[in-house]
Order: sequence, then C-alpha cells, then structure tokens
Amino acid sequence: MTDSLNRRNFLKLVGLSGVASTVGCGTPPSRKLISLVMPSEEIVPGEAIWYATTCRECLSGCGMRVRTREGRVTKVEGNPEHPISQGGLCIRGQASLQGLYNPDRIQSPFRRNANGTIEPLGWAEAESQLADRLSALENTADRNKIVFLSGHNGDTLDRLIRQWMTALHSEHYLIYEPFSLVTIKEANRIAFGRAEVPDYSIAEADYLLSFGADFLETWLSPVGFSRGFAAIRNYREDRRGKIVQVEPRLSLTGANADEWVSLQPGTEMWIALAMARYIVTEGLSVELPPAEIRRLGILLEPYSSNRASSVTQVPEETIERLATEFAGASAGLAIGGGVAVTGDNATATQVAINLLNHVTGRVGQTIRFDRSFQVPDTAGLSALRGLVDSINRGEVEVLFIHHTNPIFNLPPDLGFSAALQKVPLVVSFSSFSDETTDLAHLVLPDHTPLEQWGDFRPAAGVHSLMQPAMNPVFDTRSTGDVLLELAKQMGGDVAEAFQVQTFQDYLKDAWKQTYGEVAGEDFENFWQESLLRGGIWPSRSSGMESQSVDRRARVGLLPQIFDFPFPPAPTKGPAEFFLHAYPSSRYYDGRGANKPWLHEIPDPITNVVWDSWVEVHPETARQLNVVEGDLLHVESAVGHVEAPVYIYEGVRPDTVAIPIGLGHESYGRYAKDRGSNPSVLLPVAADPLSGTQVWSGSKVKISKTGRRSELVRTDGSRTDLDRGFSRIIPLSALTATAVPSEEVHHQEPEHESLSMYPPHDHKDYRWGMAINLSSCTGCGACVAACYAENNVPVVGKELIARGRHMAWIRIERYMENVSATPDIRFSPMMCQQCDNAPCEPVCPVYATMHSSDGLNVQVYNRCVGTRYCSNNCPYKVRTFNWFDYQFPEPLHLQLNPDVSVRSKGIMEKCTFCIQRIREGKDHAKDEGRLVRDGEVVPACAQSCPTQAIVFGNLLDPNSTVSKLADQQHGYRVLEELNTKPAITYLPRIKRI
Amino acid sequence: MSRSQIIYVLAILATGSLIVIGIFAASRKPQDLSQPIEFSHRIHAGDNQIACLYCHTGAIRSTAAGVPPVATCYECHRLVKLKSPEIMKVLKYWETKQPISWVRIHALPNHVYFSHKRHVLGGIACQSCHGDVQLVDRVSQQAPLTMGWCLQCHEQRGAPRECETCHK
Repeated sequence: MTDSLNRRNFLKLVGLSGVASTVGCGTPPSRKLISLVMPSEEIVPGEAIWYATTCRECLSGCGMRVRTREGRVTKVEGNPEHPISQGGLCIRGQASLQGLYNPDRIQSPFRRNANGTIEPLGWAEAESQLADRLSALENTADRNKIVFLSGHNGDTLDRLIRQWMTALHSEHYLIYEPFSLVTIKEANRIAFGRAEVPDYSIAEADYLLSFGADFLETWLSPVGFSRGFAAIRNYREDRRGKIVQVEPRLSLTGANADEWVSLQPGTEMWIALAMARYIVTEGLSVELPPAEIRRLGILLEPYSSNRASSVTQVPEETIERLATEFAGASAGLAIGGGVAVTGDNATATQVAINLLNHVTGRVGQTIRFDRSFQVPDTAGLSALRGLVDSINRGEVEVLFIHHTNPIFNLPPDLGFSAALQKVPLVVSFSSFSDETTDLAHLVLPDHTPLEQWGDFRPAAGVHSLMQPAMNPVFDTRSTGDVLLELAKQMGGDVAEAFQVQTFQDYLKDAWKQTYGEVAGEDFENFWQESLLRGGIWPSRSSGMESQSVDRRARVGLLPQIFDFPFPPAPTKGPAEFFLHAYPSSRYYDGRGANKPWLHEIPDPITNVVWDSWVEVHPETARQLNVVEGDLLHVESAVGHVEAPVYIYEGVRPDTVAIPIGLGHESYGRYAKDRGSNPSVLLPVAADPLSGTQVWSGSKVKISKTGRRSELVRTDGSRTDLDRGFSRIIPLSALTATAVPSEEVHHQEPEHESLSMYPPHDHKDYRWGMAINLSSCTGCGACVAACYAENNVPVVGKELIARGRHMAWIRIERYMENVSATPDIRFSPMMCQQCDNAPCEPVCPVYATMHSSDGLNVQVYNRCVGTRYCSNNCPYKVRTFNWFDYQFPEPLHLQLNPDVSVRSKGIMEKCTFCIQRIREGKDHAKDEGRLVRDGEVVPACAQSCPTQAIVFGNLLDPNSTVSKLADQQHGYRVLEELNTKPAITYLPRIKRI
Repeated sequence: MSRSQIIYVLAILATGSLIVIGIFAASRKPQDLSQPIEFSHRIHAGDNQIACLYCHTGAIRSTAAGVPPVATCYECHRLVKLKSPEIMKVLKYWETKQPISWVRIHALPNHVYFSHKRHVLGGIACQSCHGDVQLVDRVSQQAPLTMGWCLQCHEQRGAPRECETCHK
C-alpha cells in the first residue's frame, strides 16, 4: 500500500461511518398511550385547564391563573378579574414556575445527623419522631421554649400556626420579612392613630412624589401600582401627570419618573419637612384649623428650605418649587418606602411624609384609609435580636423555620447563624436548601405555592384563594398538613384543638366561618365559585365601593404629633461612601436567585446578566481609576465584599449601590457562589420607632483590587445613537395639529412604492402589535412570560458573553440622559413580523416564510442553520441554537407542549405566539366566525402590568390595535428600510 | 508501516466498528405491537358497531383523540363476557384502579401540530388515516403519515397548505 490516505478515500470512509452511526438514531415520539382510570369532565388530553390561585413570590398577593396540560403546570398568568393585579404579572411571578420545578428542590424529608450526614426519612417516621420530641416537652414552661419563625403567611395558615402554637402553650410566633412595611404602619399610628397601610390611589394622582419607593419594582404592590403609573404617564384630558422620584440612586422606578431629586442618603425626611413647612408658611396648604397651623409652624420651624438644602444637598429652589407644585396639584400624592427609607430614621421619615400629605389634603383624597393594604406585623431586627438572646440563654428548645432565610438577609454580626447552632432542634419547612435550612436538624419540605391550598388577603375586602394546580412534583407535604398531623400524634389537648384532618378542610372551615352569611344556604356552591374566580372581592360594578365614599374617614392629626422628636441629620466621614443596598426587581430579597430565568433576563437598568455589581458614579470611578469590570473592595465596619464596577450616572458621587439578592452560599446550583451579598456590610441596627432592619445609611470604604471580573451585558450601546428606535415626543405635539420635529432622527424619505417583490395578500387577518412606550416601564415581565410560553432555553453567562442569548423579546434600554430630568428609554424589541421581511428572500431552503396572516413563520425542521436570515435582519431579533440546550429535570416538565423544543443548528424567533393564534382560530372556526378582537393575547401582552403591548388584527379597522397603529404619532422602527413592520410603537409622551 | 498506512488501518477499524454498532442498532427488534390487552377493534367497532367517538371522545373536541378511561371499558364489561381471560385483565385494572399503558401505533413527530377535532369536524372518516380498524383485531399503521401524504389530501380538499398550519 504505497498511496497515502488521499482526500477522496478519506471522505469515502467518513461518509460510510456517518451512515453507520446515524442508523437507529433520532428520538421517536413517545410510544406509550396511558389511559385514565376514571373519566373526568375536566381533563381532556390536548386541552389546557386553568386554575385560579394567588402568587406568593412577594407580599403583594396578585391573582394568578395557572395553565396546566395533562396534569402539569406549564404557565402562570395574571388573573384579569383580580383587583390587585388586574391581569398583569411581574417577572418574579412569571418565574414562580421555576420555583415549582426547581432542580434543586428538597425532594423528601431528611434528618441531618450530628456529624453532618444526611439521613433520608419517610414522612411517617419524620412526623412521629418530631411529635415524640414535642410531647417530651411536658410542662408549660418547656413548651414555651418552642419558637416558630416564619415569613409572611397567608391568612388561614397564619391562623393555624397561631392556634397550633397556642395549643402547645407557646407564645413565640415571629414573622420575619427583610423588607418590612411596618414603618408605614407605625408612622400612621403616630400621626393619625391608624396603624394601617392605606391604599394609595396612584391611578388617580396627577402628581406623584415618591421618596425612594420603588413602586414599579418591589414596594408594596408593584403590579397594581404599575397600572396606576400608566394612568399617570398617559395622556388624559389634554394633560399628563408628573412623577418625581426622590432617592440617592436612580432606580428603575426613578428612571421612569419625570424628575429625579438626588439627595444625600437618609435625608428624605428633611425634604418632606421643608416642603411641608414651605407649604404651611406660604399659605399653600388646604384649609386647616388655625391652632393646627400654628402648632405645625412651631413643629416645622427648624426645617427651613435653606437648612434642608444644606443637609440634603438639594437646591433650595428645588425644594420650594416641588412644594409649590405639590400643593398646587389637583390630586397630589406623596409616598415613601423602599430601601432608601430604611435608615434609622425610617419611621420619622414616614411621619414627615404624612405631614406633607396632611397639609395638602391628600389624606382622604389619594390616600385611602377606607381601603387599606393588609400588611403583617413583622418582627424587625429588634425582635430577632431578642430571639438570638433567648437562644443564647438556652430558652429555645425547638425552633421551627418556615419560608424565611434570615441568615442570608440579616447582618452577620447579629449572630443568628451561631445562635441557630445552639438550638437543640431546628426544624425547617423550606422547599429549598438555603443558608438557614442548611443548619436545620430536621427538614420537612413544604409544597411550593402552586402545589398547595391556602389563602391570602392583600388588601381589605380582597380575599384570594390558593389551590393546588398539580400533584406535588416531589415527596413534599404542606406545612399546614404537617402541623395538623403533629397535633394528632401528640394527642391530648393539642389534638383536641383541631377538628379537621387536612389543611384543605381547615381552610374551608375558616371560609365557612367568615363567609357563612354571605354564602347563604349553599356554601359548597359559594366555595366552588370562589375557587373558580380565585377568591372573593367586591366586583367593580357592585355597590361595595360606593358604600365607603367617606374617603376622609375622619383621619386627622393626633395632638401628640406636634411634640414628635424628629432625629438629627446623618453624617459621614470624608473618605467614606454611603452604601445603598437595594432590592433587585428580579431577585427581590434573594429568593429569586435560584431561578435561571431571573439570571438570564438582564437587569433593566444595567442590562447585566448572571451577576451582581457595585454601581459607581463616573466621577468616583475617575478618582479611583477604575473602569467597568474592575473588582472593587467594599468594606464597612463589620464586613467586606468584592464586586465588579458598573459605572452609572444614576448613583450619587458620594454613594455606591449594590443590588440585594445574590451572594448565596447555598440555595442551589443557580444561586450558589454567584455575585455578592451586601447584607454582610450592614451593621446590627434598627429603626428605634419600628424596630425594623436598617438597610440604608451605612458607610463603606472602597478600594481598587487590581483584579477584574467581566460583567456580561446584553446592551450593545448605552444610547440609541439617534437612530430613533425609542422615541419621545412632547405633550404639545399631541395637542397641536401638526407634529413638530422636535427630535431629528436618522430618517430617509419613504419609498413606499419601491419593492422587488409584489405585495402580500392578506385575507382575513394581518396580525400586528402596538407598543405604547409611555406605559412601558422596562420591568421585563414580558420577557419572562415569553421564556415560559415559548420554551426559550437558558444559555448561561458564558454564552451570553459570546452573543448567544436566546430571548425572543428583549427590553432595549437607552440611557439618553441621566440627570435631574432623566431620559432613560425602554422599548420591547422582538420580531417585527415585517411585511417586506429581509429574512425571507435570503433563506436558501424556504425555512422562513410569509404566511397569509402576515407572519414571518419559521419552519424549524426545514431550517439548515445557514443564519443568513439573522444576518439580514436589521432588528437583530433572530436567535440561533448553537447547542442542544438542556432543561435540567424537572424543569423540562414546564415545557409548553404546543411549542416545539428547538434543537442545535436551528434558527428561531418571536412567532407572535402562533400557538395562541392557532388556538384562537380553532375556537372561532368552531363557531363559524372570525377571531374577535382581544381573543388572542400573546404571552408578553398578557403579562404586561401596564398593558403597554396590544395585539390584534390590523385588517379589522375597529380593532384596538388598528386604532392605536393609525395614531398620527405612531412610528415603526427603521421604517426607512421599507420593511413594513407589523409593530407600531407609540412614543413616550414627554411632560411639557 | 508508514504513518498514512496506520491512519488508514485505524480509520477502517473505526468505520468497521461503527458499522457493527449501526447494524446492531438497526437490527433491534421491530416494534412490538402487541398490546397489554388483546383488544379487538373488529369486535367493538365492526361486529358491535360501537362508534369510534364512544371511546375516543377527544377526537371531536381536542387535538388528541385519547384512549378511553378504564371506567369506559368497565361500563360494559361489568356485565359482558366476564369469563374471558382478556376481560379479566381489564377488570383487574379496574379493581386496582391502575391505568392501562397501551402501545401507541400512530405517532406524529413532536414538531407537528395535528388536531383530531378539526379533521373529524371537517368530515374526514377516521379510516382515512387509521385504516379499516373495524375489520382487524390488531391495529397497525396503514397510512404513511408523512408530510407529502398529508399535503396530498389537503390539496385535494382545498384545506390550508401553509407551513404554520401544521408546523409548531
């Protein structure tokens, strides 16, 4: 054999082996057809079943509808009938699916032995061991050494725990929530004698002054408030409301405000007081009794604009202008909250805001004590310090921990972790192993909220229900059921305290007691209807609203308020920076960190994925000589963290900001050892009036480490380089007849007639969208909804860094101007479903085609992966599967069976949720009609808390989308390319 | 041996082993079509004229036709042919409340959207795709269920032939 292996022979061999290796390959469809045993009216294979329930990702209690297919949950959506969320759902609510199917869930009960080994237990064994242990505590004094520490629970579970603890003769039931609203309650008690959190009618306000309240992200009820925000921001009766955000770091909420008042952290109180003083002394207040005016004058005397200006570093004129504007607004509203207002003067700041609202007559107008939020009395840092002390004194024998992770959120110096290790028995009900659960001796994993019964009262008169939408994914058990079982096994008076076997019965009994009268004879019917609806609340058309017209509800200032001791201003050393640790709209207090979608969807402001960072002002960065990605050492008196720099004009030069939520040492594969946790920098400090944890106001020193840690961002540039992707027009343009060309964009004359191809015919439908940029807040709920609906894979940080992000819809963020009048624009960008689509003619295999409905459809199994289409797409909305992406078990159970899971080598993009269009057409065909307007709602539009996205048929002149798309100021992105997109953007309206 | 000869030999060995694997994979037993119960469509749909939709209720209201719940079998077989060994199997499933795991004969790839409802409501006889099941005891796949085969009928009947009609 003299000849060498030439190319020809080599190819022959390779070809042959290729054939051989493909024989018998390919995944066949499932070869099993499994019958039901009993027929069910409900279950029709192939059809979705929806259950109404309540979201429990934060304290808002939004109503949710859960879609199930063949017994598994595949999607959650906002419940349109629910009064809190009104159909929207936030990014964290959407991601609750990944809590349910989290691959790192605790799958069955276990015991952690003294040497740290884990011993799996059966439920029967675990429960009987625990019951014996509890029974061994015989006398009342010993029983009082049982402590139950929990996050905020739904009403009936809360009641069960209280009753259970009482039956056990223990008084120690504590509720810990890192972001407490108790300061608002306490301030209302001090000022008005009403220890409540009133309803804030943001939708009715025309001037919203927010002291740090991130009401579009985490504060109180973000989804409901987002709807109110849209009402302010949109044009109504020739006007548009104004939003002023007062905070040291421009949050996402601030980025959506008309004005940003940047002030020294922790001095919000001074602005509120100086404004109140100016309003009272200048006679701008509403009519108040002369004695009250006089006494207010004395109380507010020290807070002149001048003094407030020197404390807050906000110009005197600004304070006085704001005061004049606020007092002059027909429906002003001042709110305070968020971490900016969690210093050691938190309650005093809220009292100051109350005074401001009072003197302008807002209490009873936009502040409604007649319909308050239901906020629990949470144990603040003081109470937890008390718990640590009692543990150290040996007064805690058994500690139950339920849905809270104090070790992650509390300042380490409190010693909670060390104390926990001294408790003889720690029992955790956590669904996930986290920092706190890792120290528990016995773990009895609870169901996740989508698997269990429960209820929740977000606000007065609104009582939401939770029901299991599927069988438990793992061998878990509802904590309510566990407590009832323990009571039964303990016997005696503990068992006698409970008449029921299951928590479901307990819940139903509780409802019977509360609503027996309303329900009348047929409680079962009432119960079923409530389950279908998702709970009980006054319907918008019923008379329940008008009965409580007395909005003022006799809320006046208490006389003691005139002696209220407002604390002095905070101080800071010269080489120090204020630390602003803020809750992330994705991770909340850290509980979102185990959900891959929340990592993969970029932060709305920084567009960073899978990481945390420290925000530094450009000036500070220059002084430190650091650039983005340089690791910064941040050190406080009690601890230190390292995090990469992100340079942001929206943080004050004297402040550094770090998002809360990452830096877990446990909590599963997605959270562990990722980012840094700013809690370790916090001192053990509490607001003296409310006892709540102090998050803001600590001082840190920062230094360059010389090392780097690249941040991965999804934005190509910070601004839109005048391309006019995301536009703003002044209000005057809407009222005037002609549109003034206030902004000049890269625009060429239209060439309507010029096209190489004949126009497309559309028979019944041309699907289109209108996106109202006045309403879009950039929150990212639509992106999460799209991931869930369309089986979009998560690729991770490394691949995103290489431009392989798979999102079908992204929120483009353009920081045009970060100043006192911020111009930060957000616009959702997805496939524009062009009528002259540049992707179509370049595909060599006709994998991307134009449908008669005007959609650019992508035929996956025809695609050969040339990526020509993506290269020719001016919007860069096509994504390519470089790999076969994994959905680690049991995350794969979430996959939507109506959408193909794409494999390696396939191009994909937004389809306008074609599976939903198909379903809508199917229903319409059954009834022999066309699809009605609003019948088909894509996942993004459904989830949008502000209803910024409207979808429909452009051929129907009466459809909502047609009317919006025909608006004079609407525009299409890169219209000059003659792509004829099906998406019309309505520019953000600038308030002038 | 020269370097290229070594490569040649190695390549042949590698190819040979792949062929062996391939043949082994290809020679796996053809799919066993025997069902857990020797259910006869001929007796039910043929001799006794039971309508297809009586058992496959999903065919007229869902994308999936579905297999009947055990309760549907039991409805009749609590009275009919109780002594038959196959029926005794059914009764055992019913008594133990276990589902029956049938072997699927007609399967479409995962990327295909196919709605039984649309076809049944459109007047397509079940037999057009499933063959004359009422004449046979054991059902087997009669139609190729390929895209060309689907399109042929769509073309004849003027049904939609757009990509997104069937591809999901």
